[in-house]
Amino acid sequence: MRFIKSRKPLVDSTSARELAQENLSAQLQDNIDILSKFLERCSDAVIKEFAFGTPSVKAALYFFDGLADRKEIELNILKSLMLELPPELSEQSGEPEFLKIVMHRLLPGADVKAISTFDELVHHISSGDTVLLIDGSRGGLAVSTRSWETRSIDTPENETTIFGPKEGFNETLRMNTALLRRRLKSTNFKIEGLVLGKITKTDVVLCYMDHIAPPKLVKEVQERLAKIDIDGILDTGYIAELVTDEKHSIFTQTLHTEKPDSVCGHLLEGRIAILVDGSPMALILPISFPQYMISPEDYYTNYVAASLFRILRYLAFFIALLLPSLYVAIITYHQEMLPTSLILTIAATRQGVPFPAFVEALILETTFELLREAGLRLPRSVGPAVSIVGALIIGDAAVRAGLVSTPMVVVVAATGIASFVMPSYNAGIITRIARFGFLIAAGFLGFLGIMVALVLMLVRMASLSSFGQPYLTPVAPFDSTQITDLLVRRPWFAMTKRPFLEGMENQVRQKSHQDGEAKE
Amino acid sequence: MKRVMLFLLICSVFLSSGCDTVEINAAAVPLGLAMDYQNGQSTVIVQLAQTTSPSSGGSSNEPKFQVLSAQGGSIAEAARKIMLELPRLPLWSQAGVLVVGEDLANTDLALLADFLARNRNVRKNIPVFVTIGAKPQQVFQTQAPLEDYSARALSGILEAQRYQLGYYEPVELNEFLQKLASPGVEPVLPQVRLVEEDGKKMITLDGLAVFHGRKMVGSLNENQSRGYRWLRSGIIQGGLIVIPSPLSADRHITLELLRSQATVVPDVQGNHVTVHIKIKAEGNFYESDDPNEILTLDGLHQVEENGEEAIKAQITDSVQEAHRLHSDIFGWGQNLAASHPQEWKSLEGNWEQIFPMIQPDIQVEFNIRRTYLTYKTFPLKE
Amino acid sequence: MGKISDFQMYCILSLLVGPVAVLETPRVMAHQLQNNSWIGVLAAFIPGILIIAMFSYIIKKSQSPFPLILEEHLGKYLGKALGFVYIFFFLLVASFTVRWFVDFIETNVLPQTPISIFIGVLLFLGFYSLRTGMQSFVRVAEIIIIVDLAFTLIIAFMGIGEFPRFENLLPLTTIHMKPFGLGLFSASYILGKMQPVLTFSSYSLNRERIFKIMLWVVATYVVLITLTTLATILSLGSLSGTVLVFSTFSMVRLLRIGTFIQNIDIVFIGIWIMAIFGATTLPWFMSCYCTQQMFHLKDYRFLAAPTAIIIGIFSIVLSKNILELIIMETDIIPLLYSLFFLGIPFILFLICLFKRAPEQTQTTVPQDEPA
Repeated sequence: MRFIKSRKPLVDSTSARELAQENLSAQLQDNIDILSKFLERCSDAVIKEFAFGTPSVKAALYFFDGLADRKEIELNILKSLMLELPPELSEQSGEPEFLKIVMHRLLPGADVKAISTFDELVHHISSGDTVLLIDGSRGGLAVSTRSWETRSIDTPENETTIFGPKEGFNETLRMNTALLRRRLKSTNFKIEGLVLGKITKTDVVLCYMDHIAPPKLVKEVQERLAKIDIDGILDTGYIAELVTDEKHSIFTQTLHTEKPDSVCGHLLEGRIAILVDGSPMALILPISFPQYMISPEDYYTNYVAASLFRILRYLAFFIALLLPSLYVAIITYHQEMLPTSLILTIAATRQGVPFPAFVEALILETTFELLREAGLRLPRSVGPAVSIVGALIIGDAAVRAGLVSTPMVVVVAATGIASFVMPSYNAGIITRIARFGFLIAAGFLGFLGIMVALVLMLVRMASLSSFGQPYLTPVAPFDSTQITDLLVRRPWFAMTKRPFLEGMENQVRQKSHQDGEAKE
Repeated sequence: MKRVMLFLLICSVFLSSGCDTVEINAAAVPLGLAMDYQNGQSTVIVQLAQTTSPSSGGSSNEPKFQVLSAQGGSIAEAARKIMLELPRLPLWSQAGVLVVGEDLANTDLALLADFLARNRNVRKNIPVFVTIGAKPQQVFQTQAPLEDYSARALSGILEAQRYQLGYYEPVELNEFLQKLASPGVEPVLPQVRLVEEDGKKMITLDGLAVFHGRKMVGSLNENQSRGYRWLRSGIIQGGLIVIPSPLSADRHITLELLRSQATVVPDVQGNHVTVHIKIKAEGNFYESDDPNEILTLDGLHQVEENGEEAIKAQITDSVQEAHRLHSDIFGWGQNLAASHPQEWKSLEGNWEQIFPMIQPDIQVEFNIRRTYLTYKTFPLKE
Repeated sequence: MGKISDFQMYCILSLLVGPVAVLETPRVMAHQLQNNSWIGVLAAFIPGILIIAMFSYIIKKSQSPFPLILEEHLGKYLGKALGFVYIFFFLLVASFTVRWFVDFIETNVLPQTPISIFIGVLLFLGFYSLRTGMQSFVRVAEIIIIVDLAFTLIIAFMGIGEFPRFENLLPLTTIHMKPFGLGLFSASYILGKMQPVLTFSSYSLNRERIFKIMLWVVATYVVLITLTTLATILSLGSLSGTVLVFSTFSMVRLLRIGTFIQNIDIVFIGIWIMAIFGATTLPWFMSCYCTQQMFHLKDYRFLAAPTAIIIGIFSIVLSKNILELIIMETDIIPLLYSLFFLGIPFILFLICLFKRAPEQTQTTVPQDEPA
């Protein structure tokens, strides 16, 4: 959809698609003819025709340059066929079982698969494998030679932590699953693979812990994934939007993370992770809103400190959401709430400011969002310069010129800082958007407007659910057993049970601490 | 449908926003509000803060406030008539003190009571004062030491002396209104007076105004005010008592009050009412200019007794003045209604006559706890 | 509508009973009983238990949710007719609550804004949550109750703590039978507002515990109102019963925390708007639900829009001025409420007494939505 928009559809798309479903022929030349049609104008496709053995057998190798490791092809395929072929085997070249013999005895590569259709062939070579076609044998062999340049495993840029593991996912799916498998050494840890995207044929995996994740949930996710019919999946974000319950909402119902340890933590609580090849982001579901306030780090530090930080984050959430609107409401509607000395200060600084407080707040908030967006897009080298100009010079000059008042700058700055406290970027986006709604409500009816908007937001949030889990659990519906691990971080020795998910079978996390002591 | 509703809502935001909004730029901040009755008309006086931007500064000897006043047929009209001179909207609820002019207090409190109770912009938790020998305008015009605004100085003085000196307790508007409405109790208010010091006018607190019914009928002087304070309900804290030394009558001993509580139990026999007052107070030995050693166990006991006497004298003084004014400022009527509801019913009608006949039975218990840094009198050389 | 958990049931019932009462009952009680009004509220615990016992007995002896109960016990025609009356009665309850709260806002904070804006805003909230479905409302109700309960308790304790003039409570002994009876009535009839429990119990997760939950609601109500009444008497003395329109609120206006947090009246109103939203939406929902059941409709949500208009218009024409509203509040509403919330359930109760208990089969709940 994205790449082939509104142009004429592929001229012979139907025939090409039919051909792709066809089996590979036994005649090498036929295969080469068809494939050269497929691969025409693909400058990175490499076709190596060669012959081996005595009497010589014609063969062809297909791979994409850059995806496959040439050294390995030379060493493991070409060398072993052309130079090290035992003479007694080359005599069997006409036999129908020859391909199997080649596969089992001649190719030293660890991962060799027999393929039979053009479709498979194309899929394999575009995944970095090398396909060997031998004249006289029906089908071909896909030898795994995947090796392309990737980013190395790095600390996640957007989720920095002090304590705990610092590895982050990168763009290669297999490396990512390896990072997970290394942490969860259990056969119950399932990584179900599937291919999504009609053109991109992206590998997508569904990770969950068998016997912990509710089977109903797993089935639901599988069904929703199977329903996806899109030409391409380039990032987990595509999937997030395609599978969630309520799509028209700023309240995202999934969690993105780059940290394998965080994913494992969620898997152990029975949630499901979806990883997509080519994306360093894992998608975790189902998620409830309060979980956006939880940082994986909470579970690595002292629980008292972590609990305090968590409370701080809730505070930051409300500051980021409500502070500008509260300021506007108090300044324009409820001045009696201000202590006299404060109102005198504010009145003094607001002398000569031409805009009403509401407009002033809108302007400053928009400016702040502009600066923030600019900061994201800016090249590294000019970033600091622009932020200095933006934050310091413009801000200071605007105050001096009497365009905005200092308290408003303080409010917007505090809001900005508070919005960076949230560990999840999703929550940050939600607050950034909702903040403007609250601002308008405050300009409309003051504090009452804010409360009305808050109720509206609550009703909206309460109506959402993430894969059957209400979006505000455990606050509403209230769950006293889970709420303790939400406002504060429950110490590990007290976490004997996993948070409950609908349909969960096995909630026991560890023997109760006291039970253990009593036995000893 | 949802979208239509949302659209309507957004429209209404932009159409109707602005009701009840006051931009701070277009507002004035009143610090003190005063009501008076001048030239046969209700008068409202307001002290407004001069809000200048900090960059332009403003020289220090220039007053930072403006005093405006207006007259009208009613308090509300007078207050709104200030708008004829003021280009800004006053945020009335910021006013931190209420000053009642002496003339109004002497005329009729009905002029302002309903206004004060009904108006949502007048906060009910601000202290109330009565001017004495001055007009509220003059009080607001006076520059107070260290404080930019005399209205704030008023409440500052009241709070500071309350714990340090212990003469006057603040009376909040809510309490004042309640006492105006309730039978068996009359309100008092601290009085503000202007004094001249070094050719400069200063505001000072002086005595309590005593009300009866709808009028101010007189005032308690400083000593009587202190007597009244002992009888207030609840725990009072802070204050000083200076008493003669038990060893030599011309020397003084100063005691500091920590806390004191009064229990008032009325007793009725037929038409005869007695009130049993019991004061339990404790304090510290604060100062002595008597060179003789007073700090012995016996001496201390004598000091306590002198203290009790002094307190008793203050109370008696204030009761006598209240009797003279026929005003039950102590709320003995209320006490009687609480403990003897049946008898109160019959007495309520002519309480005004009964009250001056009540002879209180006063018992004071004063305990000295500590003597601060020295436990003996300072040993001056002869 | 899905299943309702115990805590959610508690929240719904508290929202029906509490919000208006906290603002209104202290004044009405002080009007009847002056300084002893808190005793009257405390005493309301006993009629409260009788009321909830009546409700839970009706629930035990009936098979269908509320509007159908009428047909079950009173016969088809009388039941149907009463059902229709109830549709309008619930609309009246909703509009009265809206109007009353809007007048409250107008009186205290924003007198210049036309009441139609507030009515519109409140109705939009209710409309939106009815359209979204009762399930999300019930969840929001939990948050509202947690926030408002905590806030009200803080306010009440602050009020008591800041004005410890306990002499205002004296004398204790001047209670006469007539004002005491009237006061007790004004404090207890409000508990009849729990009547929609006859509907909600059908959706409860465990019906057996409904009495216990109602008991909790009564206890909360009594404690909360006693505390607020105490706070108003302590802080306002005799004024609270004589002249003040909203005595609870006048008490809130007196509070201050330190020297910097003062005049928090608007915060109080803001927090209270959440509770009032609950108190309006629930009778509104009941009206829609009754309509749905009476006409055997598939869904009640589409009724949200027409009923919103009815409530809006009705609440505007309800009274011309605040004095009419207060008279309505003290004289008409108690009678009307006690007739529909207590009188008719009492007739049902009497009929139930002489009826055999229904066979121990699963109660038939009309399925409007899957759980």
